Amino acid sequence: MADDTEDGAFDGSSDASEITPVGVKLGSTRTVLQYPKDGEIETVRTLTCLATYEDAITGEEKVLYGEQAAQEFPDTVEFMLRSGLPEDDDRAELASKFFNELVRAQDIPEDSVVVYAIPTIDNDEGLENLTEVIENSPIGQKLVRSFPESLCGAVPAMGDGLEAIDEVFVAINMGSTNLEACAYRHAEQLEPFSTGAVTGSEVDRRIANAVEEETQGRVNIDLTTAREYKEEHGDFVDFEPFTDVIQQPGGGSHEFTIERSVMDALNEYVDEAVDEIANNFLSELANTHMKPYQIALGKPIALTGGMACIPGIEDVFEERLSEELDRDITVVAADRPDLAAAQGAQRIAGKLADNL
Amino acid sequence: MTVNPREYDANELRELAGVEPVDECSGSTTPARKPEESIRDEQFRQLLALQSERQQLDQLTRPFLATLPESDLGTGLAEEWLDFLVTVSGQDRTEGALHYYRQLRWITPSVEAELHTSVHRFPEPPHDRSLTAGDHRLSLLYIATLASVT
Repeated sequence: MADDTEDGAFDGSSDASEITPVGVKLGSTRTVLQYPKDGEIETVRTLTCLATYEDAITGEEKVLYGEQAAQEFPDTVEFMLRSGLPEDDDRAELASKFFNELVRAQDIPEDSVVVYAIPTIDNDEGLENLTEVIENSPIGQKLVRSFPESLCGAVPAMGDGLEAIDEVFVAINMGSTNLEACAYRHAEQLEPFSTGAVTGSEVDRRIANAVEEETQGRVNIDLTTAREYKEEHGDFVDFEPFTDVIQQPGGGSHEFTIERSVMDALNEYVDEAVDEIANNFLSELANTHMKPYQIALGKPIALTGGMACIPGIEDVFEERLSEELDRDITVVAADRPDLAAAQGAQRIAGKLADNL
Repeated sequence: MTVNPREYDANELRELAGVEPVDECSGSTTPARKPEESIRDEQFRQLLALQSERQQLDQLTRPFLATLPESDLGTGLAEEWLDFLVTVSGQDRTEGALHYYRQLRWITPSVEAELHTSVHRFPEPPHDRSLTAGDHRLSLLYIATLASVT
């Protein structure tokens, strides 16, 4: 099986409608789909990657995607949305192939309403390529819409329905390839901000480098292992040093313990994220939209994205941002920040389906 | 078809959420207005205020705001200010704040009375809170801007 599926019942399913409302987050690391199935909300979460191989008997090209592709073909697997959007025709084609395989495997009806949560990156070519991927997709024959990832992610963080649409608030999406922030005023976006300088992928790179340093050059890990260390051991509340083993090239194994590498990289990430948000995004927002700034900062800031899944990051971010701004800030996140964007997109799709 | 997430229809979203359309009276948003236009609007106001600042330095005595401007810009600003206060703190606290500003002699009793009559035109917010020092600073900025366009 190439992906994880999780059942979860929450308000926002569209039982009354026969049209399937689907929420999609095509992420650089993981893609998440949510749609109703047998009266419950089905969640599909899979790595955004693809590998192809030739069938030894028929000679046909076979396609694998997600975790299975990453595990079975680690040398040739392609993460085609590494920068957040498909950058060229080749990656657009791969992204199309990946997404089509994924939705076919889930058997999602073509006559569906699909809402995509998209990162707000200034890249016209990438957006054009993504448009192509979405247009070539078999689903969404009824209706297709796209909304900013930070807005979709804020929807489940701020209530059980679409309460976020009627609020004035700030949303921050901590993704693998970008840090996205935006103020929303009754659904209107104000001062959208995005930077590729503070990212989850950069944390992975730093962990890999720090592990080499911490082990005096004896251990080199790849970025996938670094990401796994981050996801499995990164914890602002209760971090514990951990031990791993590598096989030596000349035979035998080497056991090592990591004490600092993961949390140093994560602490650095939070400091840089606070700096970007306080001194670039919020200062610009305050200059241009004083009233929404004042209203939004009096309310919880919605935190979403894969990096927001690190235990305790919400509190650490809240504390450091309050310090930087010299005013009390509160931060709120959805139960599953990594699923939040698809979850919010699915709720919007549910309403769109009801209205058809 | 475009998938550009910056080009979504905020009105469609509001309709889906069953949210009352934002009317002109609330002044919190004009649906067709893009962020760039909002910025230009704000910059224009700031420039206007700065331009008037020199002329008014010798007039900066309390009360800062003796009358409300009758121009469209002035009326719009006053509505925007009231909308801000009510959105943040609700109608009762807004009335309290206006009274407080009169006590501080930021505004005259007649300005308070005039604003007081408009408070109930703005809907109660779903969540409200007490006004902070930052909110009062923004009020003072509105008062200064209103004084500069009077």
